[in-house]
Amino acid sequence: MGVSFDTPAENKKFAEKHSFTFPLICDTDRAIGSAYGANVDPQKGAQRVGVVIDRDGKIKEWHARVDARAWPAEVLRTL
Amino acid sequence: MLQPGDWAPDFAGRDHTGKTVKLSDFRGKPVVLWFFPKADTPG
Repeated sequence: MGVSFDTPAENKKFAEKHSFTFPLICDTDRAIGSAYGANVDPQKGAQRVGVVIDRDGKIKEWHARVDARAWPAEVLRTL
Repeated sequence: MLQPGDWAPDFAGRDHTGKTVKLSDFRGKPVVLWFFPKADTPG
């Protein structure tokens, strides 16, 4: 799932443009970003943090910066 | 900062279609989360 601090309207446009098949979470109050270490600068958008959560609900991987184009597909192949 | 082995903080948020998505809905499945700064920006 992608997460940003954008509104549903902004992310809807983004998802439709690229025909995404996964949800884009609209973390407008930055609560999720803060919990996951992606709200580094409150004046800016989310830092490109990447997280893998295992089946038990525990953190398997946490990366401070990932390539949004390549990393999700790469990591999904390993699950 | 979150470390491997920590419990993932639960969350609920609206997705781009207006649907509420909760991390707990995915219990039993692995979840990949990636944050991006702004819709439709390169990088």
